[in-house]
Amino acid sequence: MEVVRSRATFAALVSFAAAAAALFAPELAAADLLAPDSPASSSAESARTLYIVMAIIAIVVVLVVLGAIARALRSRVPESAGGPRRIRGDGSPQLRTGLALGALTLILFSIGVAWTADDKGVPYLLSGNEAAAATNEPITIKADAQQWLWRYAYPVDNPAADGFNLDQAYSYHELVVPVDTPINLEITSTDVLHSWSVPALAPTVQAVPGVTSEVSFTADETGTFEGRSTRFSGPGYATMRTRVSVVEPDQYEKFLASRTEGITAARQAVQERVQSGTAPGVKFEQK
Amino acid sequence: MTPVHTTSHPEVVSERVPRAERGWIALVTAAEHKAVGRMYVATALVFAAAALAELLMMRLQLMIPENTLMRPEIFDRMLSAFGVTGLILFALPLMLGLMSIVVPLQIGARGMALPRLHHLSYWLYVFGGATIYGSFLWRPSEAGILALPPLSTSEFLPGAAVDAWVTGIALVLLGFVCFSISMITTVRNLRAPGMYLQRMPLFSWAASIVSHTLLVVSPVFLAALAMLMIDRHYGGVFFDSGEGGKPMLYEHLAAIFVSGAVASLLVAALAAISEILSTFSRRPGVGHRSTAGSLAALAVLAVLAWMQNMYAGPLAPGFRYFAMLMALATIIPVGLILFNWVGTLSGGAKREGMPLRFALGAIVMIVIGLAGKLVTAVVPVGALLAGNAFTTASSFALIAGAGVFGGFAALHYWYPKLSGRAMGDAFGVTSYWLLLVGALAYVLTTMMAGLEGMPVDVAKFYGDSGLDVLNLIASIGAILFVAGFVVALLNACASYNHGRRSGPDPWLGSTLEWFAPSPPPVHNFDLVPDVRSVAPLADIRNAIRDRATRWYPPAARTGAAPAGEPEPAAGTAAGEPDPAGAVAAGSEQPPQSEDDQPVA
Repeated sequence: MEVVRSRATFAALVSFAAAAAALFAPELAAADLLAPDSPASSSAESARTLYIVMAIIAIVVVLVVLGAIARALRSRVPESAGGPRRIRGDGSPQLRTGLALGALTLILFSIGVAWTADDKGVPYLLSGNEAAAATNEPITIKADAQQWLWRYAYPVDNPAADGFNLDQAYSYHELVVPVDTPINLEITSTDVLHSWSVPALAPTVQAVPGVTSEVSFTADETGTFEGRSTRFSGPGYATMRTRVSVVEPDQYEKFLASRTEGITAARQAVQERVQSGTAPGVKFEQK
Repeated sequence: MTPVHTTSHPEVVSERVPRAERGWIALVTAAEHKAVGRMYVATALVFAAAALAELLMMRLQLMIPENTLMRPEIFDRMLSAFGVTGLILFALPLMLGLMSIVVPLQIGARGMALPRLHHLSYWLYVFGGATIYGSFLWRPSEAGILALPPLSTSEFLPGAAVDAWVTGIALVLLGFVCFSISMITTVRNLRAPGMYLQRMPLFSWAASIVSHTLLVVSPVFLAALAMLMIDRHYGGVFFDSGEGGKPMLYEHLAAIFVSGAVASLLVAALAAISEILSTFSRRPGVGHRSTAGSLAALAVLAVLAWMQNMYAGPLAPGFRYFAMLMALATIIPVGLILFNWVGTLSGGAKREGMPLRFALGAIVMIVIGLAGKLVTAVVPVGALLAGNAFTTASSFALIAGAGVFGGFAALHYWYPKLSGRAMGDAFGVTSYWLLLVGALAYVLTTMMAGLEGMPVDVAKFYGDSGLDVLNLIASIGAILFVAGFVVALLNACASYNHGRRSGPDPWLGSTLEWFAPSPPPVHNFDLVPDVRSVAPLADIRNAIRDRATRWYPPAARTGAAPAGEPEPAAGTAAGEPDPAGAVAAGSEQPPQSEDDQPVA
């Protein structure tokens, strides 16, 4: 009776899984669902490779454990056939298993450390050591999180021009960076906790008010990469997405120039309207 | 069958045997551990219903992209209530309630030490939950699962909403502290003669570990909540970065508490599963001592690994490596426990039952959850996936595996001690499959959605991000999960008065709680037996068997019924627990026991 019932439920499960797989297989295959976005920087690529290693280990562990439990369940003796067998041996197998698991722990730990550290022992992903490998000058960009936007401030091209930081090029929502150039992103927040996550390019970094966190990456292909904030920050949190456009260096220069020009023009226009008294809501006292 | 026969009246009547009070009087005044435990379990299941409603609403909102079913503020209220309800208003109190009922019985005590403190812990828990849900009458908290500052400071969320949340959690945490003190004192002082610590049943051992863990981590979060209230109302700057405060401090303290709470839940569930597997294999669990040690090690390591979900935060690399080492080291105790389970099951007796079924479901979910945690425990991967739905899915698998599957396994197992009746099998099977299929669909698709870039806690997702199908399946899974949970709740309610009557020992257990009648009388035991091993009830059975075999004339022994003959497979083969209540009537039969009988 029990056997029939469990076989029936097993068959039901299998057919359910098969139907689900048949329904969604094309989408699943197309979307590459078992790993993060395809990487566009070496640091993201190494993290993604380690993810794949760990995912395979985890899947193997799950299968081995559940398989062992299932096998043990099957080896049980019906009570009509004499009930449980005597347990043989206790204590020593546990010690050996514990030692083996301890070795596994240390191996995984070493993998984790080695994967993040370069030959000088400095964590690879957490410092800007990619800069040494790249040929171009590193660029430092400030990323400022606020409810619910990202503001990227690009370095001033010619600091002597004004010294007034409003002339600095900035952009909201979209970060534009040149390809094959080390980017140091200085991330902070003006209000609450946020987190900057563009898995194709770099590890996730939390934006904490009062703390400047740095993350470095070097994009090695052009394209547009989606990112999002992954730290709950209030009602607008779901809309707080971002995008990184990796472009050729000359396009980046053009982008900076156009931003600077546009910002300067906008400032002048505002200034004119304020001075002429046509700006809405702003009135100068006329003497 | 089990010929252990206890009367409901004491054989030796000392003065003034207490009598159970009825109804509301008992509810308010009972300091009896079983009454308080029943109240804990019932209240936890009520809060579970609330958590289910919130989960259902959130998953309906996330069923299709850019859904306009509810405003983000409403979603955030559901989210803020769901996190705490699921973990510290449902899952942990369910386990604490079962511990309240079972532990004194298991260790052969007549009640809890410090019964009034134990009772107070229940009311603190109820008032805490009521404070959180009372705020739904006007405006509940929108500050997220952990109410992290600066978002939860009065600058961003003024008003009483967050205050009610903080106060409610603080009351619940105080309740945990009271419970822990009472439970630790009970386990230390009230054990039966001969019940040494190494002979204590694993669930009682786990109760001690859980109490110690909660006693350490609850005040940590209480401190964080106190700082938050000072910031909100008395001009404090603990978390105000503009004044030199550190927002990360709260996150650390909250993470310590959450790690400890999840570890406690896991320890309780693993211990309950160990006992169930041993009972349903009809033999003592393999490696009792290594399992007990592993449970303790797991609690310590899991608390020390509190930073394993904070790799994205501003931490020095050394701290990240420390957290990684601690998180990876939990492989050792968990692996040992799994190894012992395989040893217990293989070659054991083939018995079926709802507790075993739920225990197996719990193993599946816990293993998947821990595998997810294993992946993100390694620093670069953890940093890559931080704040991703992958982490939520593995946490959900872990908490649902331990709290829901493990909780229901323990509830099915010890339900006879709550009510004197067994939970229904038909409802049980339905709820089990709905829960398992739903949870697996939800967890696996949410993991994939996380890898595709689904962030945690979002109130909506966009159609352009390729998450439609995954979120749809996840929502359907969550709906199945909720449906299964509702069936299980109905089962628990209906069985309380209408379940099949179970005798003192429906599963043929080997620990002392099955020595007492179901439900146990106020004083638990007429006579507490001497404890000589980890399986005192099996010892009693063996002693009776030995006595019986010595008394019987040799002709009868060599005849049709030798001692240790396998019992007639009437109830067991059909997967039904043995109605041991029927056995008591037949106790004039020569008693036989099949415990620890080697097969020739």
